[in-house]
Amino acid sequence: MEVTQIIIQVLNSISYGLLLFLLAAGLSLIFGLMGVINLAYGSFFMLGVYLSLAVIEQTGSFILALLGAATAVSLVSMVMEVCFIRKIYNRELDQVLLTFGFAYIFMDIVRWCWGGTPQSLPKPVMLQGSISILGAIFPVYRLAVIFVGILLALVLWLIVEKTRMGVIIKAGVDDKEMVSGLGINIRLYFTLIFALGAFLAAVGGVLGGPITGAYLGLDSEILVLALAVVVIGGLGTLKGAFLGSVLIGFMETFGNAFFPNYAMMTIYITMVAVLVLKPNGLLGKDERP
Amino acid sequence: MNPQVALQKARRLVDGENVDIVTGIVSSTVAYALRDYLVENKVPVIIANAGAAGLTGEKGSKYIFRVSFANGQYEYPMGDYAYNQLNLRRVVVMAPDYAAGLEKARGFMDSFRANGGEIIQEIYPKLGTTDYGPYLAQVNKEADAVWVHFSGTDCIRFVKQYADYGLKDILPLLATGDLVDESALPHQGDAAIGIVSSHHYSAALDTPENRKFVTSYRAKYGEEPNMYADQGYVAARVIVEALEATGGDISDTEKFLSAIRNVRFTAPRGPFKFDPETQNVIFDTYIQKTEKIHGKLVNTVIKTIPAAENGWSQPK
Repeated sequence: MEVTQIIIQVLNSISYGLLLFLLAAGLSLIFGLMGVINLAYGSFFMLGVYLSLAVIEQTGSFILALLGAATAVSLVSMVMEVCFIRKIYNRELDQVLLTFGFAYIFMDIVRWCWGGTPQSLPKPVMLQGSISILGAIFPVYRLAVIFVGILLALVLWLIVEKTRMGVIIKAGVDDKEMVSGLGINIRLYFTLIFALGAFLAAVGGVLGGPITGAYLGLDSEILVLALAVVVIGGLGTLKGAFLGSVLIGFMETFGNAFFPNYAMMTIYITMVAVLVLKPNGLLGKDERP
Repeated sequence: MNPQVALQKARRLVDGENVDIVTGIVSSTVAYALRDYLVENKVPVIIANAGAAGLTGEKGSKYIFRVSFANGQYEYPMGDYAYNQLNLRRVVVMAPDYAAGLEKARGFMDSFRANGGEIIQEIYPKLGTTDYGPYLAQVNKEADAVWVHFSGTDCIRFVKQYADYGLKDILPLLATGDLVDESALPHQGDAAIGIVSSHHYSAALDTPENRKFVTSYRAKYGEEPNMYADQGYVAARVIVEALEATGGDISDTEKFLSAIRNVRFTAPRGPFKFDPETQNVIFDTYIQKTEKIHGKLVNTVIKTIPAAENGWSQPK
């Protein structure tokens, strides 16, 4: 393999990994901090892509589309949390059934509004085109994904580790009643976390949209990827999700380059290998007594 | 796409509702699953898309007709064209890693090699690959061109990423017409310009039959017709023509099958008829080039390869 190819593959790995992080961060938050299994997570991603498509058609602005779609999706998720999820905290099987049902509803809504023809999300004008890095041609947009991914990872890390909100949330996960006893409205925080998770999924959708495109079935593909990242990284740790994403990014990119015939399995081989060596994921702690 | 569900539905149609003819069938997997049941029940089947060559080959039957294409059938003439008209000698081949993708790639490679061309690299990404970056980075830049088949959601992503990774400027892209399907062109945008593809239908085909078809289709559905629109139309037309030939009488199955076998007419895609032996369609193949005309992307036909000159044959 030549040097330029290696440069491209490394950049590919990082940009794909960070795209995966954008997908998985929200799921990791919802699952890790709230203990809620949300199988409608991929639908938030898909809704993000389609809603931004609608906004771009109306306004032509990628930034407006990003904010509009993410806000709309988080509002939807808040309603979902307050009216449904809230009633079944700690009942994981019910959560699986309920959110799975929502995934179907969202898919039908998308089919109904946008039809079944695959669509694509245009890139922002200033990020179109490619640049040459040491003789290797690389799309500008993917460099932007790398940049935004790192930025978002930092912001999230700061929120969870360095703010009062983060402390309250983490305390709430460990002992909900004690936190309520201290006069803190933990339910409100949980709703906010759920909405933040949906917000991140939609942001991932809009940023990933120009690469993935918009089509029915995107939701389940994304859900599987996001679950794999969260499992590899370890449940409920953002750092784990970050490591897991970048690891999968590298494994899949280089796996596809060296062993294209096994492309369908690279992710799962990685997952099995990690789980055999570290059953709780890369950074997961054993929380069960 | 689920063969079990398809079989249940076919049983309900045939046993429950006594249908006389079955048509449609997009997926080859589904077609194979339905094949034995429909043949045993002596139901004439008009396949309108499923491309597995074996459906009109080793698994063929006098009850099975195909109006769409067999995988490899319109890919094969591109091998000749690439070698003799475009003077290409070394080509990289890319297609999704599943039965149809491989069968189509084989169609192109067989004829390109038979002419003396060399396939210097074959890359088969998984079906539904989101990110072609890792594969595109590997493409051997010493090739004269890249031939690909991708369809559905894959074709939009592939064409855009091919341009993103700077390959569009270095290596000409040859493809199946599926890659530049009329429904995908608006989403692919300028990245699709210049792609040379082979197909059995183009909405830009300039014949009276097709002009009429395109106008009516646009008026009804508000979009350009594509290969699927043509195939659906042809399937329905074949049934109508056969019924008219027998005066609507289908009680004698043999007579009806023979009426279907003899259907000939000029379809939007051009002259239509069946190969009497395999009951697979025979068509002219179009070499088309994607161009932007009056701000709109179209697949302009640059050469017609008559059915008689297509060296493709049903694999035995």
